[in-house]
Amino acid sequence: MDQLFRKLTLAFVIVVVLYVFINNILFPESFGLGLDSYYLTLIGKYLCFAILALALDAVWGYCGILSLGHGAFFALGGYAMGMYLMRQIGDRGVYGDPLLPDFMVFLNWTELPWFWTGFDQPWFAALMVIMVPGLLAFFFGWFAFRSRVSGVYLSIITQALTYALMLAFFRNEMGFGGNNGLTDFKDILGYPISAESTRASLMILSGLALIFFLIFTSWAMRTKFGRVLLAIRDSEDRARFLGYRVESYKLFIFVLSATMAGIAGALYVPQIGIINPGEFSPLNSIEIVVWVAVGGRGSLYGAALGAVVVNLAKTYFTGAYPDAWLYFLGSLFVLSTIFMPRGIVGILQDSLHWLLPQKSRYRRKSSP
Amino acid sequence: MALLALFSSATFAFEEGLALSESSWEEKAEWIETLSKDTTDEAEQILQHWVGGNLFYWPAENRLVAGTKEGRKYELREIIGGLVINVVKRKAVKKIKVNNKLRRQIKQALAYRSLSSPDASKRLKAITELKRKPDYSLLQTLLRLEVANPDLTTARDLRTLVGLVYLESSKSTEQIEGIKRLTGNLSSEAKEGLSRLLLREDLTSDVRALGQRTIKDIEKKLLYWGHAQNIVFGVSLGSILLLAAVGLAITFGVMGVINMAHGEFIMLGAYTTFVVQQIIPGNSATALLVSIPAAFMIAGAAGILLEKSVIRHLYGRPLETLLATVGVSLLLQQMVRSIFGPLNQAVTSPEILSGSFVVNAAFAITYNRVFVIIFAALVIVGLWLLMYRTSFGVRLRAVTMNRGMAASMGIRSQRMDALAFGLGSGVAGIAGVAISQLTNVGPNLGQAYIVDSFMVVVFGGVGNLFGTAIAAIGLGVATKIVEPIIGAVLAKIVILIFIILFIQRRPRGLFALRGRSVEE
Amino acid sequence: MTLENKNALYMESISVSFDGFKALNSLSIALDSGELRAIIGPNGAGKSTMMDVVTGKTRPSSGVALLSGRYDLLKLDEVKIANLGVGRKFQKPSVIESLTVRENLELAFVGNRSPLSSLLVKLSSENQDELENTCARVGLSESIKQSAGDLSHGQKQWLEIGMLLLQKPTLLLVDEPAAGMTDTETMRTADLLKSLAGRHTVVVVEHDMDFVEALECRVSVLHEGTVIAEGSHAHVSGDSHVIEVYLGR
Repeated sequence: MDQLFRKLTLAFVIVVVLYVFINNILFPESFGLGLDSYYLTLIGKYLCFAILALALDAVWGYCGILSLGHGAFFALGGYAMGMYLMRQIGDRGVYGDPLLPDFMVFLNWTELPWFWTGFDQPWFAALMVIMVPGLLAFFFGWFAFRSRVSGVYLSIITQALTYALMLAFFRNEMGFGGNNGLTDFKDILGYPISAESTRASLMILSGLALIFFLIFTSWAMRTKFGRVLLAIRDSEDRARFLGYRVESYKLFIFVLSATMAGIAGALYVPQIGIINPGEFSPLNSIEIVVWVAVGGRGSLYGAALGAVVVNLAKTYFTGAYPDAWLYFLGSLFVLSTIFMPRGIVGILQDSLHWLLPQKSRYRRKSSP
Repeated sequence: MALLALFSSATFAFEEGLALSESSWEEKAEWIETLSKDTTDEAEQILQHWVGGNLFYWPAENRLVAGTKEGRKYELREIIGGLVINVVKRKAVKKIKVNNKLRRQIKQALAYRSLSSPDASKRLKAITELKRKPDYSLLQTLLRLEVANPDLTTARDLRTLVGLVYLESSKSTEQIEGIKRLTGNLSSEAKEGLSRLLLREDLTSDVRALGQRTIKDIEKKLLYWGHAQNIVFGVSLGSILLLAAVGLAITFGVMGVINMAHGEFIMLGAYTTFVVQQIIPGNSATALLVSIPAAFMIAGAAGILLEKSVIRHLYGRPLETLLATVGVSLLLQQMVRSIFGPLNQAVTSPEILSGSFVVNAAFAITYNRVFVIIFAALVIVGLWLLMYRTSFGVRLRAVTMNRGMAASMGIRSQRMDALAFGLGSGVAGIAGVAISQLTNVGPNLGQAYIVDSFMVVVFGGVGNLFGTAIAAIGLGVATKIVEPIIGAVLAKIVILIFIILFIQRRPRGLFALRGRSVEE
Repeated sequence: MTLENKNALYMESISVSFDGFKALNSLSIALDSGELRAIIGPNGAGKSTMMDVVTGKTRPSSGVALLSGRYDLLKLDEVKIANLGVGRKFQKPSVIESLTVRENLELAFVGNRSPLSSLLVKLSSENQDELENTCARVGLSESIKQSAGDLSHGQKQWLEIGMLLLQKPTLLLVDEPAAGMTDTETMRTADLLKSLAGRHTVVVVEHDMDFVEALECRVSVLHEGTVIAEGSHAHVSGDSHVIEVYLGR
């Protein structure tokens, strides 16, 4: 039955991608059915969030690692992309410096810091989008998992991690634009970034990435690898005494998940047009958790679904009743954990059970 | 006496305006002497203008005026108040002349006036000003004052000033006297004065050696007191951390549950202080005293409500509890924002908490920091008594250590859970009262403390009051020692990274309860 | 090397203390290869701690522990020890409840345990046969497609034993297998364990004296972290010290 919903989710994403491909790219003029920039950006944003939720579900839903710092990996991927986009501005900045981004000129810097070198090359930036979050996750996880930090302890130190990064990125001296972050992008791979066709392409790219990651993760979770993860989630000691190096598995999925989050961030930044230290704020990471919780963890497509549903609500509330958003988000946390621990997916499954009664099967434990 | 008319209310005798303007240097010196004995503002102003070369006799009205050159003409002003009277030609006024000797005499007279002013703040201001540019010519005046002035508030500064003036001397005996007077003096002026002395090339080797020794000694003492200052700041920061964390230590220790809304309970306590102050305006000391129990009750009640409505349903699912309480923290923040607005509210501190306790130039501590330290100590002692000297405490600790066993011995663990949660949250509310005395109260106040509090609890070892206290003070002191070296933000990052590494080495904290029961 | 070479498990003077409490106090024990050994003792005697030491979960403050006379257990971690062929069954049945019986058994199957290879491996058909045989041996053939979470308590215990068998351990540590079982189930379990001896060295930690008697093997009695008696069931149950420990308190 999970299969059915997964396929439905996949089909839905494919339909959206095809629709935009046909109406915005192939025949932008003929039918007049193309989406405008606002909706393209909005959908693109949801798709990136869905990838991010997928990344979190892989570690939380399958391995029991509740990361309250996944926003950090997303933001790091975003910054890597942002640095590439900054270098593409060239001398079109306000100060017209051919080499330095505006904020560096403003700070009276005379040369590009060493860690900015190479980011004018798209392949290097793409590599960094994967490497930076991946390496951070690797070192962090290597320390944490080897010393068996788990449960709430791990959750809190992941939060501390993203908090520390936020403080660091707020500093002008770090060389990432401080408070304002990176913005005023002009073009990407030579295409003007605000053109409708570029936006459509970026949205399609995000959709394709989501499709790829959905297929990839659900394949990985069906292999023995995925079962070892479940074993670790349900009974860490059992897995260890069966001879599985638990920390290697945790590290593997954590790094994989971090790179997915990084890629989501890299796709997100050119569509939104800005990346700033606010992306590192602990609240952002906590929101990701709520997407997954609302969607239903441990099913992958549920996480993606949750990301879209919660963000639809966010778009609506922040527009119509800005004050109500935090009330809504807060209640969502409380109510979803108490009343629907298996999320939307749980409700879907239960209603389907009700519609088509069949042999009951032990349900996956919802708590790690 | 005709010259009386020269001043609106002069009490001393001049011969005549014309006479003043044409008098000999000796006569002028006498006048200065007379003026300097006069305690009125006018006399002081006349001297001020005179030494600045701006004092004129205006024959047309037969009086003294202050004048400044404006192009080819002179702008005349009242001696007092500086109101412009007229603009006249050069010839219309006569300048009261001054030479170096007189200038010195006037300066001394002025210094003496301000240094012996009955107003202590004026005396201090005069000394501070003179310290900036010590003038050797004032030495005798100052020495006279030092004997005459038994006043404690300025004695220390005066001593510094005399030492500095001695240093300006060209006689090595006097230089040595100056150095001796500045030995162990920690003010920045003393250090600067000595460095200035050492730059001079006409020093004897004795003086130079003594100067270098003294300056080294001062630097050593400064370093020492600087460390002492940092440690006291650290202890006060640690006390805040302790107040914030100790409630969390109780809830986390008893129930193994992280209450992410803990920071918001601190915020509730701070807002309670604000509200109580609005109800009892004008008496912030009473308001503060009333706030303490009020904050405890309100935050405690909120805690019990949270336990009964949310946490109870999630027992045994720590990660879910964490998420649900995150939601509660968002709700509380937004609620406060809706009621009090998004801006910070100022809570005024009682009079007795303003000001600071000054030991020397390098060591001073504000009274509200002292208050926080004492307050935290009292709270800890109170909690300790509650936990180890009452039957409630025994039952609470029993539930912490072995829930099943405690239940089988007739302790109603559900009731204990709620009470423990209420206690922990109430203590958070009290922490909010203390914190409101140090910073402004705003909706985001709680967020700053949750990660820190958790770090303290984990660092100290879960379920260990003593460990929590040591960890809080330790982290506070460490922060304040690292801060001057690398700045506040980097210090915070370094401390966070340190704790992350620490948790990974010792996941059970500094003072862990070890053994099988904890492992499983 | 000396005598210890032929011992499947050799422990000498092992001491473990938690905050001053001596969980193991100079414990010494030696097991022959293929032996079935029961270890009994009252609560807090140190039975579980002993298992923890053997499997690498707890590090003793002093002593020697060798596996097959060659491997120093005190220098290896849990995973290495497990992969050397030490299987452990927990007191509380610990199977992976969200997986099916077959998936649980597959996880236990010997083979490369690295994350990368786990993405790619599939069991060969011979291995599938072996898996199904083992499944039959622990009486779970009919439930092979069932979710482990849906099994009864006793079935979970057996599934766990089945998983241990597929690990092909040289040394099998079994913690209170009979806990929570019905009488017939208990006896079936005893038979199963007896049939394992010979090919595997088996250590059974038990409370239940009847069960121990049914195992018909050498018994070691643990008290306050040390072995106070060793011998046949009849021998130890006649020992005055043992009687005092069991009945005197």
